[in-house]
Amino acid sequence: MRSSLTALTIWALCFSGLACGSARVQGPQSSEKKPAESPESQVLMLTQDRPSYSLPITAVAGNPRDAEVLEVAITKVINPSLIPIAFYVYLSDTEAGKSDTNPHLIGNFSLYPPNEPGKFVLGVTPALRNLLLSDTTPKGHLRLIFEMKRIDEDKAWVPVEVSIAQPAWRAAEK
Amino acid sequence: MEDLSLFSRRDFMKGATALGITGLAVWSGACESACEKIKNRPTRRNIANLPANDPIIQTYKDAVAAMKALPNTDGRNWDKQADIHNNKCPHQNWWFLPWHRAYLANFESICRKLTGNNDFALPYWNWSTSPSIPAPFWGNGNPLFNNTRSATQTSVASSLNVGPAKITEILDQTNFFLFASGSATTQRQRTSYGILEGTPHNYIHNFVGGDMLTFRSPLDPVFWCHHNMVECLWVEWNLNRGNPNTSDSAWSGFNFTDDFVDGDGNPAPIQVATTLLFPLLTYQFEPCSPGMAKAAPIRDRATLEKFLREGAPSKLEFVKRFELRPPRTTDLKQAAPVRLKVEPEAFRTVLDVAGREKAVLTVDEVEPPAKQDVFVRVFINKPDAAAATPIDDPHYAGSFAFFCCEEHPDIKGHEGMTPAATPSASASPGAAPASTLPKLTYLVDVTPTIRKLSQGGSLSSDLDVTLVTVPIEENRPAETQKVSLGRLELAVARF
Repeated sequence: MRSSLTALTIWALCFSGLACGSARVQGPQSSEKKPAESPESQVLMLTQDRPSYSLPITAVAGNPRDAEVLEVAITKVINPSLIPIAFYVYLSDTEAGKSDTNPHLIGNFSLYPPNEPGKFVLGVTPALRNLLLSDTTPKGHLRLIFEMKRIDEDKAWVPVEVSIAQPAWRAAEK
Repeated sequence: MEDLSLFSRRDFMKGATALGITGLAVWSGACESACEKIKNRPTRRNIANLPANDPIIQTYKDAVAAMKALPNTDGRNWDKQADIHNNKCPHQNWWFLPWHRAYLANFESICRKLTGNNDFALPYWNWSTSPSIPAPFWGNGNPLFNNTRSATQTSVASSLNVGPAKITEILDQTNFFLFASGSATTQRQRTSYGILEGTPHNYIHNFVGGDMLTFRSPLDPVFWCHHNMVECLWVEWNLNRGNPNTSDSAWSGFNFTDDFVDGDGNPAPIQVATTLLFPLLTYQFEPCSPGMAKAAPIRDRATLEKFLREGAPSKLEFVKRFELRPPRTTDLKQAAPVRLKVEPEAFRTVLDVAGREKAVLTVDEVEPPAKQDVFVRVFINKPDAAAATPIDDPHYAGSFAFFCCEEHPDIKGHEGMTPAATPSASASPGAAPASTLPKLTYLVDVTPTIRKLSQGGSLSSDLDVTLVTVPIEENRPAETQKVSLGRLELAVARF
């Protein structure tokens, strides 16, 4: 446990400069915009102008074979207006750059208070495991999509910035 | 309401033992008058099922208005209640559920006290089936209205976050930590969110907005009904579906020492193990989940037994043991004192309120009398205790009883700290005719009594344990004249 935390910390530190450097405040984005694509091992950054991000499944730490959960840690939140937001994590079975009309929802969650970081453990269902481990699924096509949505979508975006650590396949606490 | 006759009094005693001895003390200490109260315990209802003029809603309004009118020197004051949450609430860890259970129970008690409505049960907002903030929470001048909300009366919560499919997914989760959030070592340590807290709970705080976005969220009266829904889902998951809570004693033995105030505004410290008994003994729920067909928080006897036996904590480490020379029987209304010379040092760790060690009295191989119309009271350092000695005497530690009268040939030994019930080979000479029920073991947490006596300077090195058998009903003579006991042991146990 300690070694994995250390590894995660080191990993996060490696990319914290990149994460901070990418912080920008811009206007609302079009909902038509495709998720930005993150290279492997880059910390995810969701903002009001880029509320969706995807990364290849191979960038997830750990082995999905025996995993019971997908751990998603929100490490930093800048949300001065306390805009209510919810997060959705999908598995997309489509080549990068192409749209997937039916991604598999792995889990969804919110922050409370909405400027407080948190670690979420999303259960790996048999359906998800099958999708991940199936010989017929080209692994290069699998991507995780992280989406941040306003809970009241009638209201305009305000500046918000959320950092997400490298997601990881894990065994569940027992 | 479930049929409590399904469960014998003995089940509750054994169950309480499995849950933790603090819980046992709570149960046993009140066993004389609690039966009817338990059977008729108030039902927490879905607020959507209540007409606008329902007394439950009116009482809730009156209570909130009364709390807002209290001076801020009173712990029951509305703002002071929000301060408790702001300063103490555990989130993102495994004490999230029991802490809020105790918080709600005390709040409910305050509502009753301030309104004089002793039948009041806090209603819940079932956001899964009624995804808009319910009508009773709207209207200027309404004590239940909060004008900081961002949600309007027509706003609808997302079904992906709180809808029936999500609730089914949550209730299908069998791992306590994934259901109820991750383990922690301190009350406000943030470790990991379980699905119940991280998804519908957090979402609704965001959906309502305003005060609900912050840790001062109890300023909005909808907070209490929101958390009552969370509570109902825990009851459904744990009690009805038989999913065990963690057996880690670090969880169940944790004390919320300086958090809550009761209906009278007095401090109300409580241990997690005790909160586990609340939905069994003090309230029940109208159905709140898909497939929860009737208002029976416990489906059947087997489910309850499974829950009680597998529930936390399953481990209890005995650090020191002091066997007492037992009386063979306790005669009706007569004291049966036994004396043990115990070095005061032996209890030093027990006296530490923040410690994890407790003093436990084990009364083993008790033969349930044929007519179970008595109970046995336990006193510490009160050799002259008698049936007339009141239970608010500082030496009173608890009592145990022999509820109901059915035979249970299927009772087998079970894991955990309680020794297996053993078949009664023969009645002890001199004892009342015994039934064919197995011999029983009772644990009584005598820690609060020992602490109380120590603080009062009356805990000597010679420790007396006195047992007094009294009729269950004060005004009805008991047929049972003696209760046969086996071994008595006082131990220091670590949770």
